[in-house]
Amino acid sequence: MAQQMPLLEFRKITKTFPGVKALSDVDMSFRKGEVHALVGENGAGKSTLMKILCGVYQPTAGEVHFNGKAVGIKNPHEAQLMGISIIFQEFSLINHLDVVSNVFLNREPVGFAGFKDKALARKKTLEIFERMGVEMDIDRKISELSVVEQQLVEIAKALSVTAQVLIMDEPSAPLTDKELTKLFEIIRSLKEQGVTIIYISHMLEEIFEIADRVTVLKDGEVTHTADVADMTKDLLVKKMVGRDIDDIYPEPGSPSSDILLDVQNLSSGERISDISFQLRKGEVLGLAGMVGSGRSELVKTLMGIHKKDSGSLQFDGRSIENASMSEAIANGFYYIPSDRKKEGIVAPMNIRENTTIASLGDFLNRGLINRKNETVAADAENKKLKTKTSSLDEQIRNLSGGNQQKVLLARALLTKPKVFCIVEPTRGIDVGAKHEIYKILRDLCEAGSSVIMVSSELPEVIGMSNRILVMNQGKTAGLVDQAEGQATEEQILSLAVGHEYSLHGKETS
Amino acid sequence: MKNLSVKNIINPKELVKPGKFVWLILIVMLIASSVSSPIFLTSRNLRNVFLIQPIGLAIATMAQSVVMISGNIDMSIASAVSLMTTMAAGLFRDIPDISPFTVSLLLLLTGIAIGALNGFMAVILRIPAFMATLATSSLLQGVIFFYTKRPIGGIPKSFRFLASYKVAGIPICFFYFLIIFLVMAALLNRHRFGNHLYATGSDDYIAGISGIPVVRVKMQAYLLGGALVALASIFLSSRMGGGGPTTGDGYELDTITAAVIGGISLAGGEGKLMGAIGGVFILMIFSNFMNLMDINPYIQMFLKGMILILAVAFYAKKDSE
Repeated sequence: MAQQMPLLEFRKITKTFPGVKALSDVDMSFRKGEVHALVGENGAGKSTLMKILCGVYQPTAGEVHFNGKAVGIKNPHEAQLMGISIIFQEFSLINHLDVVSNVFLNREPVGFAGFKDKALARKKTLEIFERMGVEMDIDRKISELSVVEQQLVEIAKALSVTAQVLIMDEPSAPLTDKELTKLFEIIRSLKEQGVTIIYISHMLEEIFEIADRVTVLKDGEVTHTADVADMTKDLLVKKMVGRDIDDIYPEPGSPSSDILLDVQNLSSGERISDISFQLRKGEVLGLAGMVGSGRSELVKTLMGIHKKDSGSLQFDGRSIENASMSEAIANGFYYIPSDRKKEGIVAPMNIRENTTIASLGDFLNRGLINRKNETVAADAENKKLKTKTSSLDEQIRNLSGGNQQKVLLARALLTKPKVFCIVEPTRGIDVGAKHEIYKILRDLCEAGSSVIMVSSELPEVIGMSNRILVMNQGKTAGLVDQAEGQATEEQILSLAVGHEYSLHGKETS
Repeated sequence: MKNLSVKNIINPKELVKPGKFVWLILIVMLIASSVSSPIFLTSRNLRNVFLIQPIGLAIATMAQSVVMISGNIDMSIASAVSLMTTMAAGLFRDIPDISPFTVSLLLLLTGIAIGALNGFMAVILRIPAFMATLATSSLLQGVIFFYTKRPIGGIPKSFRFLASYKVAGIPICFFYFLIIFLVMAALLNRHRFGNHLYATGSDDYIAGISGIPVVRVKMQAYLLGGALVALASIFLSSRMGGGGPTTGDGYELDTITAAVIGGISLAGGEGKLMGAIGGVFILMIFSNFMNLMDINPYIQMFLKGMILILAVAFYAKKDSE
């Protein structure tokens, strides 16, 4: 591409939130018809920058230039009018409305006096899904759709706009290979039509496949911009984290052969049936399997969230029930769910309150909370985990995903768990924070606790687990002990799909 | 039209869906009332229960529903009704030659002004809607008592015809209600405003980042609600031939009860107007039944409270599933 006036330019964009400088002096430019990847660790400021472009946030300083003119994008509606469309990282769909209404939310085709032209909206929606090569019942409500389907609706919503700039913030996270291939086809055809695409992703493979240029953000500043052709994966990672990718998983440690938890013939409804396994003291037991194989259901049953129909739990040599979550916690179990926002953080509370909420009983003095002890404990725990924040009084929702996860870990550690269950520990978390979270889990094991980790990322399961329990359709499909040699992705995948499929690609349906 | 298949109508899971559940209860109540009271099925009683008595509450419940769908609540409806009925009677008393049209128009403007006040406090100043509209209620009550301490009667025939005139045996006030209902239903289900209203009430952050002007939509809901309360007051003053400081008493809770029974979510963004109207009929048949059975009105009040608790508990349980 020769010298060409950029379609879109950020000039010295700075954005500060109370106590945090999210962006400082960001200069970036985008050419017409290019796919420009934006990478960086979580909390690097990618989403904030995109929200400024979409009118959700206003910059503290700096200008956005569009088509050569400085523009102030005051709200999302203005951004839409300018032809800037976005696929948000967190879903932007209305649960109570159907697919059609969501795709054309605020841009409903209207006829007489503002009455909706539902037939036209349905037709256009069907066309978009056809273009995407996806089958979709467009009259269903969003709340009835799976996460993958919701993501597809999200993409359709963005495609329904005749956009000049299309921002995709982690569009691929829940998608399977097949859908991802389709998505890339769509991106290429949009590019040919002259649409500028800003592509945000943690998946470096995707960037090398689809992007023309890449810009790296680190701690709110642009550290590097280059043509993808001139980059290598290693170089990109180094620019992002300043560290090589190899040493991301800590040493596996040396768990004892003592058995901490002995699970026999555990069943719960149709979710899991007849599961038996033993958890050793000081080990990380990985739970692998496809979505819907019953991994998180097993954890929820152990934690008393799902009722168990049959089976027995022997913990530290005694028989326990774990009939409810509170009983499980009292027995020394703890659980960190995968959906931080819904099941983890208490959004309106600050970091201190979020840290101590599960162990407030320890800070009681004649029935009242001793704030001093509480603060000291919360401070110590968060310092140990290196939670990045200006103060403990900061609202937890202002933290990045990785730092929120650290607060949740701090909360868990204060309860001094013996059996620590964690689901998708690093979902949506950048490489640097991932490494730190792995280390925290490993330290927990060194201190004599045991970890049960559910993860959909095979490298993570293999890198972290001492042993791996593979599940398939609610049953145990196999147990892989890594002391006998490192497991391979193929090995686990073949157990997870019950040998029925070929081992290439991540077929999930 | 898969929603109309036999399986879906009989399927018990479908029946407990908000909206359908209402009609099931309504049918049960109709049968129970018909069996236990010989008077219930007389044409006079039926006309009263279905075509005249519910109109005021039905229109006011539409007001409450629109505001609830937007994610807010209106606790000032009762006082607003009292104010506007009193105002209608007062206008006819103090200005002898005033035309019914002028009175209606003044009521409508007053209703919209009250809606604007509620909206200004709850939406612009972001005072929690419950508190803001409760404050409005007290404010309006004060205005009424400043003006009169006792009911004012004597509304002329020219204004009363709305509630008394019949066409082919059907009171015209029923058509009055029907037109308002059809307009509102079209607005909520077929107009883009409806989409925006449901989206805003469902999740105002997401609606906002989708480009919907959420502040304006919430404000419009209050304005529309105010206008509907005025339309309800026009009917009520016509029907009673007057108005007073207590005319609207009970309407704040009755409108919420009817809406909640009908499946309008207290959390906003969910529920159909038709369901809320079903809720109104349930309340009406309930109190008609109680009256026919000669049950003490205080016990009726108590039972109505129980109904609201049950309805809220029912939907809360459904939501948690």
